[in-house]
Amino acid sequence: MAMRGLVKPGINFGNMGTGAPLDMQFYFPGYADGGISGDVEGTADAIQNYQRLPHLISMNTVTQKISRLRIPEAILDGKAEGYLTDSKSLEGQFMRFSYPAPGHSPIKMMYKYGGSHFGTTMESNRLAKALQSENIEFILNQSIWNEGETAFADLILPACTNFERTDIGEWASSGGYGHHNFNQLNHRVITLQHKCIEPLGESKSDFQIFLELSKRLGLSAYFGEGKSELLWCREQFLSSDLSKVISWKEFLKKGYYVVPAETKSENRAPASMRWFAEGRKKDVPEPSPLPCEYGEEYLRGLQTQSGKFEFEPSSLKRFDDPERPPVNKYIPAWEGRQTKDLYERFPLQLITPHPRFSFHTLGDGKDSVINDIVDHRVLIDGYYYWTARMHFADAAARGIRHHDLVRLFNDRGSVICAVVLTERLVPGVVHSAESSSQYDPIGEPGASPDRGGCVNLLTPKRHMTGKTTASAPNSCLIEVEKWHGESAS
Amino acid sequence: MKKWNLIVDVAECHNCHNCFVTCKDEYVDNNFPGYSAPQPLHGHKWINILAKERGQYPRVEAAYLPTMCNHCDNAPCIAAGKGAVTKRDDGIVIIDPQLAVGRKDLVEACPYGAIWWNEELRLPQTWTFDAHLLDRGWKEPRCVQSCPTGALKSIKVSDQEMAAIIQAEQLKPLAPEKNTKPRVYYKNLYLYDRLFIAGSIVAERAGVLDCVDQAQIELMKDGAVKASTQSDIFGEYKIDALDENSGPYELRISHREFKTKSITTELANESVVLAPIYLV
Repeated sequence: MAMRGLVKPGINFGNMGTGAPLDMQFYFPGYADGGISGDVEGTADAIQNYQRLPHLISMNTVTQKISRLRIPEAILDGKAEGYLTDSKSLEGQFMRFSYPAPGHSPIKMMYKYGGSHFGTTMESNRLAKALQSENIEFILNQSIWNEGETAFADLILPACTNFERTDIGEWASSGGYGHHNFNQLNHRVITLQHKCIEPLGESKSDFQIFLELSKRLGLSAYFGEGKSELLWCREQFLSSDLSKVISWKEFLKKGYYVVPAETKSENRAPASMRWFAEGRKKDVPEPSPLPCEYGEEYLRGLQTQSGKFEFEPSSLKRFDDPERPPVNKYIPAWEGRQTKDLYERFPLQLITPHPRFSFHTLGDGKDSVINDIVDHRVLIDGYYYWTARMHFADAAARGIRHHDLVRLFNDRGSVICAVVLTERLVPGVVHSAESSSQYDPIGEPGASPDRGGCVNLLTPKRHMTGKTTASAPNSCLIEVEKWHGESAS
Repeated sequence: MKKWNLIVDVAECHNCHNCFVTCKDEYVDNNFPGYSAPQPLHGHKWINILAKERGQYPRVEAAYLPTMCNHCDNAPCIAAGKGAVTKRDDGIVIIDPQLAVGRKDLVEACPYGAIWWNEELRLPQTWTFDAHLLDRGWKEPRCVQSCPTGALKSIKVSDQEMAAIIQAEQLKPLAPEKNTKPRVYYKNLYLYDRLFIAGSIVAERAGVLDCVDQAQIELMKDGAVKASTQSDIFGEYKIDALDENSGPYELRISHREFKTKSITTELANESVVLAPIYLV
């Protein structure tokens, strides 16, 4: 593609999902554009809402960090290493860090928000052991749903759902995190979320929980600035272009605003990267690369170290990672058909893509109606089991029939699933989605089969290469057998 | 008199379940007096998507069939209901949530399995075509509104107009032999209830085993050509919409570069994926 002239008309990655004629100039803050938290480092506050919304700024001074995949080692072994994802610069991905950081305290307490980690952490039995370890003194879980992970907390702060609190936001806008992400939709829609009911039971909104905590720490003036949730929504409204086209009262009453599509050609967003193909200065409204990141002159050339399209990245030539050579080449998987000893014991390859009917752990379990979607979970003896798909031939060889309960296992753990037989898989491959929100071990946590469906119990904790923190769960061998154990609670 | 009809295009249903979820959203915990009592959170599938795989690896197709109350004009549930089930002037069938209490027999009366028994309320229940919404001015039921691919379409037309649409779009009801006169029609239903014969054509060209495109494939039944097609650029062909248990067929493959070849096969209750056919 580069040799044909990257991003000349018709020479692109064909991003068919986007391209509706949206007004990209209309400003409304996305979820990481800053404001209420005042965090100028961890959000895009410094370039977005800091100038638009009067608020106090705040800063997290702690630089000690642990990669998500190494939290269990940090707790259990007291040691962990990782590589940064600092998107300020291209080289930000090459910086190694280690835990404990020099002169810093080890972890004593964990403040956990929600219960997603068992479904989304590779080899997650490690996590079950870590969360029960004496090395960690206190775990707090701020949670809406009483998921499997919540049970590991010493203290639970019940949070309410978004139906029980006020909020404001734009659909699919992750501004500050992903620029102009709303362009995956046909319209830009900004909504005011009125609460439907008061928070149930003892639950409170996240804002109210943090406000109560900051009161006890003597910091509430800095955190809440004396404003209610609704007033903060109004501040976001006033900071945006929305306040130029609709009054606050009208917006409150109407509840939403659809930003009209651009109609003037001068408002039309230029094609991404077209400036590069035509040798012009960069003309698309996005903050990256930052000015000093240009290899040549400001707004000309790419973010590579040479500023040119590099078939052999100069940065990777300087960065010595044998598993990540400058030019891509096939490297046999560390766990696959060619790893003979392992393959003899575990002859099926497990792939664990995102689930189809829930968004990560959101929407799964929690007694929601998608439990009744038979491709998502299957009701067997009163329990909704996560599904695992396998080919008829693999199942027949193991005496397994459609919708039998099966045990997926390897040396890392066991997960009990309802099996779905299909012709739509190559024989030898088992498909079960990651991101079950339920972790429900039938015995000792971390050392017994899970019937909640956290198939990441089985996937390897190994990083994609020695010098990244990227996860690599799909090089995973397992065996499957009919489950004869208890099936109902 | 204009009446409601639902058209389901099997070719466009991708099993996203938006219709199922919006049906749950509309009816679970919500009471619409005169129309419906609340649907239980679990167990009921007033809109139920059935799935079917055809063929064998690697030539496999999946088809999805959204099913629901057919709002039949000759509804067995109305006959069995003795007043508890009625047909409105606009074609919609309503099981009266008060008069039908205790009538478990109505679940059995439906030949499509579209009536669900609510154990807690002792009530047979089914999808009302969202009549309570249509009566408040909605232009279409929620399942249609939430369908992202246009697989579900609702139209309110006279029975004469509908007959013309059925003819033009070759629509079919489910199980017409039951003679219940459903108001839910299916397009491309063959993707779910019929069989195909598929395979690929290969030949050696300049020492390389290659896919053969533009081969003419004629499907013969009892000496007559029943259907014909051409192989595509991958050498693949497929002849669809064949009947179950239709017995022996002959495939004649001809191509200007090669000798004509004949293969026989047989259709029982599954689609057939033939081994690659070598032309010389």
